Amino acid sequence: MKTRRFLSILVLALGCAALPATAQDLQEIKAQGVLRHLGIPYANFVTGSGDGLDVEIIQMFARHLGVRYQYVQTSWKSAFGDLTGRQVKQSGDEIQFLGEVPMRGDLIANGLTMLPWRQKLIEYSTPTFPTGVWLIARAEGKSLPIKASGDRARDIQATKSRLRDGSVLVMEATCLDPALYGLKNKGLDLRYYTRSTNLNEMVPAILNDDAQMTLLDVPDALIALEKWPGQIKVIGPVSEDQQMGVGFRKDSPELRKAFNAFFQTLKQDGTYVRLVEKYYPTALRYFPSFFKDEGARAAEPGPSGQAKTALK
Amino acid sequence: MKPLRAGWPLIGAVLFVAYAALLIWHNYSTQVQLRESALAGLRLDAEKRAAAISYFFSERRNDLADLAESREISAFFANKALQMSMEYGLRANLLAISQSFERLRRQKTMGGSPIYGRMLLVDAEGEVLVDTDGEDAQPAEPAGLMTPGARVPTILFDRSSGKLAATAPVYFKDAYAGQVIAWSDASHLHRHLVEPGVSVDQHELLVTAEGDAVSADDRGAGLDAEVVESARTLFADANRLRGAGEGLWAEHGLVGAKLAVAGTPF
Repeated sequence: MKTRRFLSILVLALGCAALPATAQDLQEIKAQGVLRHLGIPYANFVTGSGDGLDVEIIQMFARHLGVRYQYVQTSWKSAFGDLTGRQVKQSGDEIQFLGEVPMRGDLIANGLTMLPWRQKLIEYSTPTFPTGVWLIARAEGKSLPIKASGDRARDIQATKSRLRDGSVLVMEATCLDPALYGLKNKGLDLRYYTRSTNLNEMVPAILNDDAQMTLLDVPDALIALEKWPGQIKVIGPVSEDQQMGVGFRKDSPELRKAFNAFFQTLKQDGTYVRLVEKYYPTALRYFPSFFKDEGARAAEPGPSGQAKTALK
Repeated sequence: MKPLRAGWPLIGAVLFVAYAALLIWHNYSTQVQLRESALAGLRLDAEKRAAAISYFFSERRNDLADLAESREISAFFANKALQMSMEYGLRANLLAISQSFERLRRQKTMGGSPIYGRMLLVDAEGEVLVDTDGEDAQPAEPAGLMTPGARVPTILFDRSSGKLAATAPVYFKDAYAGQVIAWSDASHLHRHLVEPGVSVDQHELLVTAEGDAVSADDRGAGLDAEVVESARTLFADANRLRGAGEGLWAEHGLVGAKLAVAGTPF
């Protein structure tokens, strides 16, 4: 009897340890006094050295809420479980629940692409950044860049035809998952990058000859072109235009609402433009339709005024 | 007491005349020394200004050479050589180049005003790739400023517009790939390097080899027309200057110094 009672107390105690007290929505977060930012070092969204576009935005959001900011590093594999408490397996646009895991954070912000399978699991903020997926190759690779036709669908088709020119590095459960773009079971030489879940390693990996080409997010590709000029080339687009946003649990509507309102003020007072110019200097003019309001703001007199310049 | 000899007054007069002559000579030599000293001071002052102006042009050449060899421009031509399209990648390179132009325009100022006005990146065929004056501006005409045979930047002066054009060739893999061109208003030189520190009885002119004032601000503003014309004639007349020695001259009750400014397009 005593043993049985001891065991039941032990099980209860372990159960409590496995499910740590976690803030659910805005009120609980304010009561606990901390906002936990789940992040994965990725491009200039989370640089890994304590800053980044998304890091600064969430730090400001925490200050706005009057709570302490806490960065919680996660990985592409566990990020959604860390947010929702539910471990899932993704296959294309479908997800399968595997079990419960502890919730370690209140939001995900690291250049998180809005994908249909993710939207089944989490809610997104209003779009925070534009993106898309390009095919990148080593400079000396035999695959030639496509000639832009002005028609995205045609450009995607042309790019996909180049996928047969050599091996392609991809990463499952991320925006570089080949299943998202209909590339699986097409007889392509897809190489799944498994050395880590860090998307920043994709270009170094093809330069290291792990594969001849890689899929890459547009913001990451813009940085890679600056980092490795003349060593890589953009073949063309694999996806239509995409958007990024901050990810929230479905049962945190108030937190998401508060973030959206806060983000709107950042856009209106020019803070967001300054942050974008700091981390993605070419983005404002590279994505003119996404940043049309911010672009107008950037063109106002001041250090950021640059919209007059004409490009070919 | 012996009476004075009849010759003493004469001796006294001679001594007085000699003394007076000595005084006059001394006074004259002092004047000559003063004038020489003034000329030397004038020359020194002119040399300082000439050095400052020369440095200005040397800095502009360095700016353009740095831009032409910049990572941003190299990356663009490297990616262009890889046949990347403007829409997928190359446009980002051009944006980075336009930002480097804007950065230079913000950083390089004189007395708070930007030194550079319009800036262009042009490809080897003369097609404008980046134009800081935007699409609404008057079309740029870079044709006369392309220097495919050159290896170093050149600065040209267009008297009709009063603009200086600094132009540097861009090479990619040792082949001529294009040109970086930046315009600057020559009045900067007058306002910030020629005019400051000039006393009220002193005039400084920056003129071309033909004797024409470089800056519109110099063209007679506040100066006696006769002085300007005198200087213009003298500056344009190499023989007369040679006679004046070391570029020093005196005419119309004025003393002056002419110095060549190294490294200028004038």
